[in-house]
Amino acid sequence: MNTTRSVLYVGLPASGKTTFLALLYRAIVANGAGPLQLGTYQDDREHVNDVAKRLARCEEALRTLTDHDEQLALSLSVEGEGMFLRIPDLSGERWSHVIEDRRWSVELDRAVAEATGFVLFVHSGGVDPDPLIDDVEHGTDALMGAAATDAEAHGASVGEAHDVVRTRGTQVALVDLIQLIARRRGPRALRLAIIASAWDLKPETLTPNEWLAEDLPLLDQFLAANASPIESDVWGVSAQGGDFSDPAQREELLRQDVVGRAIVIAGNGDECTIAAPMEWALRIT
Amino acid sequence: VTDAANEGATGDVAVGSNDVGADVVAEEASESMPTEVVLDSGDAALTLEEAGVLAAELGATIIVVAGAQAVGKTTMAVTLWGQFLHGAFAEFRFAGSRSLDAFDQRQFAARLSSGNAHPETRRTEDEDLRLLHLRIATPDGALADLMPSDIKGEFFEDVINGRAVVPGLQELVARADKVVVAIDGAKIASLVDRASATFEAEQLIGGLTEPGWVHPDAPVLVLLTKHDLVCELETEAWYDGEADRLVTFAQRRGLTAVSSAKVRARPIAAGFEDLLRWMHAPVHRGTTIPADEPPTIRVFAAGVMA
Repeated sequence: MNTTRSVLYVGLPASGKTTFLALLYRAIVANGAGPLQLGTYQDDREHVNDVAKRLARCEEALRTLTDHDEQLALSLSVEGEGMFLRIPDLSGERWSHVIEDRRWSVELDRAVAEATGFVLFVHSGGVDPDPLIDDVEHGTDALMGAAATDAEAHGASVGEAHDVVRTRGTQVALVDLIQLIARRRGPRALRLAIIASAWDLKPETLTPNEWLAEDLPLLDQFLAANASPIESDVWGVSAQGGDFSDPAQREELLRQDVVGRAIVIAGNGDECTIAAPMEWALRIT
Repeated sequence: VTDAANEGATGDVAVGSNDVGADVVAEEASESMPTEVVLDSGDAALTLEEAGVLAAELGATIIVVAGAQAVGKTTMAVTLWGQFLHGAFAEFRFAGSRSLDAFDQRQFAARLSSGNAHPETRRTEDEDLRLLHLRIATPDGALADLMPSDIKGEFFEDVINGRAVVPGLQELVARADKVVVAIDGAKIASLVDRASATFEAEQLIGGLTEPGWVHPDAPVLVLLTKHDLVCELETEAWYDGEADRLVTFAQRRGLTAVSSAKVRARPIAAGFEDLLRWMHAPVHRGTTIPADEPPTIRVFAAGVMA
């Protein structure tokens, strides 16, 4: 008899959730996901086939629409045991709305309460520190230049604060989301795999643990201080294996195996399998 | 039509959608069953009722931050929280906040993304008495919950002037584990305003130490804000003398644990390590509470204050 387990992918827009979903599906079908093996070809796989096709063609994943709830729902065989795995492909906008509106649908509420595990996606090169004006004013001239660019990126012109919509720094938004999820879970433990996506952009000497402490110090402290109710671990993942927008890189990547070109690095810097974060979130390891 | 059907199926009420059809489906659905779950009150700080429940649940330290308008009370609390955005602070780690969005909202005007040319903190205009919440972890992993108040200065000016105070303020002050009396460094730096600033602080301490207000054993901190504006040695020396006088005055009024400190939030925050240690330090209450203690004090502590 199959046990049903669900994993919720959490993250802000463009954090790599759908691309990793596509990679995981490809790996499962190709027997490249360790103990996670496809149990049957009878499940509805249209959505994951679509996103997996784009990954194989080295095309960026299409943005998941806020009001379309697609999912990966597969019957698996895990070390001889049947498992029905459900991973809703929730859009980043949906999670952004949760932070802004302080509410979520009853379906998401139920999914949060019942999930076996959670995977939090963060674009490793897209962390917005949302700096203080004072921090910038006391920086170097070079930083001043960067600050001006940053202000423009936020849609604001310095000196004009009217009608500027509040943005949140990435780490504040993520801690906010995790707190909301943890509070909904109550005493039930929260198992959280953190995936730093686009890891191919980071220096090889940097470990995911170091990245978390350096780029998201508030989140790092929060997780360390709450290690008992919130079990967490971090991986650096490049589901694409490189930059699809670079024609030369794309051509090289197209020649490689879709699963084989992906990069997955454990928190301590060791290479590991594509399924490692999912195995951990599902408590298989 | 397809979008509307999907919207209704997910149970999400027109979030992020401009589709009129989706609104209709959601409204029809909401008549029979709830479609959304409200998570919290967002950027508003905690109400007295919420704070009372939380304080009872967590054993939080309630810290009333008192002072006149624009003295820097909110900036103080937000700057303290903001230190953790860069990593562990003093010997503590950030462990959570039930008012995270409130902290973030209050800091926004000081961030580059606000578009402001100069950092600001939005004035507290809330007519309610509210508190913020900051959970910290000590090096040995113990958790501590701090709840500084975020109350507009006008309400404390009523105390300074001996006017009737807003309902709940006396009860909150009486329940407070600690009290900060904030003095505006900008006024201390002004030869014209400095005497009035410390005179107001004296009046505030006097009002807060009337029977039924601050517990005699509650630590009280006379805190100079905007210390960066106090530049001249003569001014600093004058203020130090006044701070000593205010501490002595508070002790004469029956308070057993009075001290003074200075902080500056800008341009680079300073003095907040000691402030956080003061907030975190355990409170020893040996003094018997007067028999005529207002009953609402106990009600607040039990977490059911209306």
